[in-house]
Amino acid sequence: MIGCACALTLTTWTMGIDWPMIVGGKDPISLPNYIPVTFEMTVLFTAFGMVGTFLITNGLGPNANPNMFDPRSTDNKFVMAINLSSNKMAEADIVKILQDTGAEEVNIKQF
Amino acid sequence: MHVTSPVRPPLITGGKTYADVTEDICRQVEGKPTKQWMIAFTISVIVLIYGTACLFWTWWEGLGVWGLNKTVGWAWDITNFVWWVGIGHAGTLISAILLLFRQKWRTSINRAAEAMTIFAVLCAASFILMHMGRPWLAYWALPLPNAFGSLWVNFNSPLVWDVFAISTYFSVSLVFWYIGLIPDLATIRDRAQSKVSRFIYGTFAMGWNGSAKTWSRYEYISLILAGLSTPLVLSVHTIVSMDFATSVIPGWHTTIFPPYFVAGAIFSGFAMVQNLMLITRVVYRLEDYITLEHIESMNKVITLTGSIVGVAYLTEFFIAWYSGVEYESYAFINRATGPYWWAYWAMMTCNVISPQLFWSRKLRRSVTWTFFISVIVNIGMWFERFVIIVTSLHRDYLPSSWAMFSPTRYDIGDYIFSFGLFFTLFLLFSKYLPVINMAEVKAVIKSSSEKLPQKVSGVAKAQRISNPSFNKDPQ
Repeated sequence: MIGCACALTLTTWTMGIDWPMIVGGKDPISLPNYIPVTFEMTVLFTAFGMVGTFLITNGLGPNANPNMFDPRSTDNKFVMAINLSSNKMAEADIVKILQDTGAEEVNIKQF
Repeated sequence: MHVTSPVRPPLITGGKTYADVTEDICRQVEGKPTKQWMIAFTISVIVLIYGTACLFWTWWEGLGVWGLNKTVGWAWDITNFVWWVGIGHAGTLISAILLLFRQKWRTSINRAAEAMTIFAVLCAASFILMHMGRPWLAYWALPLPNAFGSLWVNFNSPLVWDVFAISTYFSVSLVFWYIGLIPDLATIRDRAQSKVSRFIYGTFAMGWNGSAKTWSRYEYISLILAGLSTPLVLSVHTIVSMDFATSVIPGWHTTIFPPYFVAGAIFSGFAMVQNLMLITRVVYRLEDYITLEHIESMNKVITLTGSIVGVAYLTEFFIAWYSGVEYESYAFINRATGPYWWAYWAMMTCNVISPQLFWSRKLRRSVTWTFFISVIVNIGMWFERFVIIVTSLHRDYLPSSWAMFSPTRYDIGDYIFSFGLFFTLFLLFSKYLPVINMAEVKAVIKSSSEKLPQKVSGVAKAQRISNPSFNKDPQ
């Protein structure tokens, strides 16, 4: 929306108001001719806006601290994290359940 | 949820597990450059240096060093520009449109195809700068308040639309490609042995931690970017075609141009992807990831778009006659039988006839034939642009100004420059970044790998298709 508005403002203001130009016998403000630029600007703003949002919500940025449970999770392992302090079950019980249901490794880590 | 039919041939062969995928693809990134790579890289750099010298001279001396004359004012520069932009269409098509269509075979080739897109668009942009003759004034194409008076760019002009279209396409493709790279960069970061590479890959991996939430957002952003890129892909070549179609030159002034250019772009782009992937596949021993299935699927796209292009050529010819416009008809008869007849028939043979060979399953699944036809298609698509541009211009309304165009060594040298640039960038990419999207391949492996242990895949082995003969295990 912002991109679309920016593009429309830019095209109509520059071509129609600031320095009206008649090109090819067309009206100074000829909206059909502004569609390509408006479309491209809309897509550009949306894409960058979405990517920006994605990076911010995930806390991603150059040299951000990954804060990972296990570095092998980016290779071939899956990690399930359970917060011990907010869990009613005892630590040993949780470890036992996990091991019984086929966990390859159970670690207790401080974060 | 997406369900894969058990009768579908597997996409990844050789019984790869998740760890195998990481291992196979990271090997290139982590190891020392191979001898083949060093040789190829040296050649590319030499070509690039030669091209840069030619380019320098073009700018130093002026565009007079090209073979242009007052009748043919646009020739190889725009031919090469349109050709490269066309090639740059396949990558985003594969990653965006095929993602929306849920075509899983794209996972093995999307990374390299997107990289190819970005480099091809860079090459195309270099021709825009070149044909300006005074590249230091390139900013005039931007809507900046002019220091010499308040003149703005003309937003009615398709050339200005092009500036917006190409720069948007380039930036969105780059961002899309980079977002796809982040999980893989994180994999390399976590495997890195040396501090330096951990730091570098860590910087670019942006602190990716692969948590479920991050992954779910990643899936969404991929879908959204794919949804945005799909109309973008179609719009870029449409706008490029309007550079011609909005003019009044016979042979350019046709409404069929936008769809016909888009089909042609996808056609040449897939041919270039085939060329690059077939080489990468052999050099990096990725036959299990880029299988004959992938090659066949791409060949089907080539045949489809090639046929669309063929129909467009014939329609154009028919309309030129049917319109009853003398100049229009002459432009087309001149294309086919005039002094540039050889270019026209080269285009017809390469683009219309050669992809039809892929109706044969045997040729479609033959690596040698695929490579050969892809090269032919690329040559044909270059001739298509040459035919459109030079043959439409060289005989204009005034027979006294009819002329021929012949390229000088600087026309050729500047074209060579773009090849040097393209291959240098592609080789750097294939050495320092994973050429296959590991994360996405891992996502399809469960439903599409040949013989993943039952424990992991959750599907009994007997239910899967028995090993088809064309996907024979190399071991």
